[in-house]
Amino acid sequence: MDRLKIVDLCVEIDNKPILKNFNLEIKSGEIHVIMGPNGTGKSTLTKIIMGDSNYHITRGDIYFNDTLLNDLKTDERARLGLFLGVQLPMEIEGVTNADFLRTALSIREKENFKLYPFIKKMEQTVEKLEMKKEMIHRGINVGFSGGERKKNEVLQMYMLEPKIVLLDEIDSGLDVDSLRIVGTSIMEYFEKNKPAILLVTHYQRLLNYIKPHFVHIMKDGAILKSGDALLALEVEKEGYEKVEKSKKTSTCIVKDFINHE
Amino acid sequence: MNKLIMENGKIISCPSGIKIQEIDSTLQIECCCDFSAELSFKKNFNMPILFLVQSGVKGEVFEYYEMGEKISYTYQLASFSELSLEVFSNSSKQNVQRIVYLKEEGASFNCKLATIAFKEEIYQYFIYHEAPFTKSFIRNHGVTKEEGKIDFQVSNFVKKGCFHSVVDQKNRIVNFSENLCTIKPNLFIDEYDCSANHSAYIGTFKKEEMFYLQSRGIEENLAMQLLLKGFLKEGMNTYFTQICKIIDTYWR
Repeated sequence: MDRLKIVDLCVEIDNKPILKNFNLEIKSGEIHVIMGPNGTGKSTLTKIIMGDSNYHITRGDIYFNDTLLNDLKTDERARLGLFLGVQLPMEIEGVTNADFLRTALSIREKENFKLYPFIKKMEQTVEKLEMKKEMIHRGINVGFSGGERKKNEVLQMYMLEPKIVLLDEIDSGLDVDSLRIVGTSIMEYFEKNKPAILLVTHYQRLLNYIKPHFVHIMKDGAILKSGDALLALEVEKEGYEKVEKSKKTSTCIVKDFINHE
Repeated sequence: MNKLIMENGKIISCPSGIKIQEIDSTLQIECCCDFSAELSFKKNFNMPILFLVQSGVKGEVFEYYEMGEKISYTYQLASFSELSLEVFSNSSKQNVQRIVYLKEEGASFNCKLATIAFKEEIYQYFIYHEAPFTKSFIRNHGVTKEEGKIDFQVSNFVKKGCFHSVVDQKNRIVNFSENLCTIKPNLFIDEYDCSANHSAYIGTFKKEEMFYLQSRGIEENLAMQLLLKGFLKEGMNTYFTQICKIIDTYWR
């Protein structure tokens, strides 16, 4: 059982506080969703967990199992089993997807890395995600549409088999078919590998395919409210402001997610 | 395809459709048939080289430099001829001047250059569009290291009446030295009905690119190597081995 634990985390960028005493614990076999208004620090949270050096931790800790992540480099965190599917995957000219993934996997697997199974798995995953085969030989995300970029993130997740999966608005810019493919593929990966997943999204529609165990509402750098999947439905119906003020728990079974077994 | 091979200006092989002669201290290469040429410079070679490309001829030239302090090329392209260059420089010091005359309708010149500069390197281009429907594409990618310094000067001239001409130049330098690098893109255009683009960049790789690669478990130095190889190899069909060898040696 793997566990990501964030304790009293305070983060700044250019002396501006982004996260304020943020706490969260995610275990293998759990899907957590973070929702919230724009500018509340959701995407920042995923980048901080992954070690983006633009952000400065002023207090608090991030643990992967018993390893303190605070001072580890991004690549060290990735090799421990963390993965971030970014909101706006960038274009990198000249570095092909295949070269990129082969390099990443050969570092992790060292002498156990085998080229043929790698190629076979990549081709199968490309087919599953209904991507064009030639895309794996193109520069990373070069000339890809928004949907293709998101599928490429999911392809990388399948290839790298992370234990902790952070997905930042993986549904943004997807048409209905791509949303279904991406959503079902993530869920299949979850069912097969049982990682811990932290999903940032604005829309309930992704949760038609990915079934969360916990939904958290985030505002001003902290979690305001937590519940199960029904909380996302309530947000969709009522909006953040009403949900934030609402005392009722009939449609939103608030759980203490930290104590969840 | 007919293949011309030259090492330090010495002819190793020359097909019958290519005539080479020395005229007024200039090495003149007249290309009368489609061809491929490999020019390598491992010693200093200072004689100017003139390419005369006849009508309709398509040629590709691959140039590799380990030495060659000052070299001057002139190209004269006749109607609907096409000349493509791929150039890789690994020399310690370099000064190359290319003067291109797109003399007749439909002539096209394409040059892709990759260089790793350890000392000062200057690349000058003067490209004269002298007829309608002429095209020129220049792509210079350079990386500096140690005492490296790069200067790209690319000047395009489009005369009035050279309608439907295309001018495109992209110059990028990734600077790892403390020296000042320069890019001077000049477009002198006296014709409304033509297309002209240029881009210039001097700097390092974006932090976001490094973060993206590292977020997949790739160590910092390997991520840098990947970006450098991609940057220099992009759009090139040759010299992969040479590029990778140098990067693996100097960016360990």
